[in-house]
Amino acid sequence: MGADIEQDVYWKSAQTLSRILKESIRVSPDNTVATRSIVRCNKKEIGHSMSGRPNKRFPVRRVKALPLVIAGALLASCATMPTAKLSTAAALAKAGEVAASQMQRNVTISSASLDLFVKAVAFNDGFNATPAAAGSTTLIANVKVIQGNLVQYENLLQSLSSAYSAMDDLAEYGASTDLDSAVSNLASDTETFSKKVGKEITIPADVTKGLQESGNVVVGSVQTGKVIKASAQIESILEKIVAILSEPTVRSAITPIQPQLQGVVGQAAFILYTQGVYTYRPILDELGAPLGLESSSNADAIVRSNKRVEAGLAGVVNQTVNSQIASATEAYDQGLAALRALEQQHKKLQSGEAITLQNLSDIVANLRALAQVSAPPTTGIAK
Amino acid sequence: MSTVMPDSASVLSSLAAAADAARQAYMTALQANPGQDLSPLYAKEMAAMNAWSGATAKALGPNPTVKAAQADLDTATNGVRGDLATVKSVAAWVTRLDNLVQLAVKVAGYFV
Repeated sequence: MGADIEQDVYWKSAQTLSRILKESIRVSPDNTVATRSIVRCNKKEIGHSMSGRPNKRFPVRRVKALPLVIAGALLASCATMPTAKLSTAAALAKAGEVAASQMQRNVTISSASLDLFVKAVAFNDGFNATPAAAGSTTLIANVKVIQGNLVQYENLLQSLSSAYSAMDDLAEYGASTDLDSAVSNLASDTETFSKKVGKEITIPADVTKGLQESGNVVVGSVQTGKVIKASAQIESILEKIVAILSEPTVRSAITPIQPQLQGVVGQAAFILYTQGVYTYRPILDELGAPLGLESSSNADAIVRSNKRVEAGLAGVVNQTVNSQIASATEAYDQGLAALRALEQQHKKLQSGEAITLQNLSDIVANLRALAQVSAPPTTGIAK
Repeated sequence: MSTVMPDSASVLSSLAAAADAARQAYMTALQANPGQDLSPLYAKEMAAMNAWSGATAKALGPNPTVKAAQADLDTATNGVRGDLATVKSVAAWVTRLDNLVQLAVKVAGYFV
């Protein structure tokens, strides 16, 4: 065991020195030698990552004790070190984590949103002088059942994000401690989600074990091997998640709830808008912005005295509600596209091909934009 | 006449669309009649919402006649959507939504 650790440290030492050498003699495009500082590289490479996070796979105390001659002798091996694969895996893991987190944000109808929905229904009931027992009680109960499916979907996405985070730790720092549990949680949450939405599956046990066998901190080829195995495990589960989410019944059991909830909340806001509770000025200013126009302080009075202008602005509000509804459905499809893109990149990583993250990055940007449409920073119409 | 069963996703989608159309009708009527009592319309909207939300928690039963019922519901939904630009009267909307809700409830009844 101790010998293994020492060997790993020597191996890593050679890897680091090789990188330092490469860094220090890197030639710039105009054929002049770059002036990178070896000292700076040492600090970055040996003790800490760029973010200041302790570099778990390369304890600095051991490095100081290494005879340079041994490390130097190992430099020849460095040319074949699979660092590129580790970097690629780390990039994929980071992208996966970002995508899963963004999807989670898009999916989330937080308890606060559900509270808002319940309040909106209560307002709508009151405004229409309709007792809850005449309809909304059943609606809220039904929506809470659907909400349960979504919570499990969120859990799944959280687990996916955590699995990618653990894969990143492994690729970046050689830390494999969290990976087994992260992959197991992902498998478990996938199974639970599949059951919730009536598409029950079982993740085979061999998909979720085996990473922990050779220690908590790994380097070199062991590290690369583990990263590739982790990638295969995540991909295997991802494939099942994509299959479930691609089922039309699952899509329709999940996507309508957000549009319908937003529709009800939007309806309450629209009712208040038509009753003149809110100021029209944000909409007026938005429409006038391209021409540099701003509403005047008596704009609301003018609008309320002009039914045609008022009707036009009500149309804008109505359209905004509808855009928010459409964005929730689109977010589901974009999320599925993100998972499919990740699946493809896992395959490339494992087969040694270069990965391309631009498509995934575009999808995540779309998801962000859709999340903003769904939940604008200044909700409601009031200024 | 084909007796092929539509899948439950498609039928749920029709129910969701009907609920959405009912809400649109309510908002259109409200926009045209901001001071009027819209409670009859609201009751119809709630009924359409419940038809959809109740069905989502159930499974579509093996009854091929659902296809014709779904087609009728889709026709009514499209009819409501088509009327959004022209119909302003609350009473006219109540009549239209009454038909829509009856069809939605019928379709939701296929989920058991």
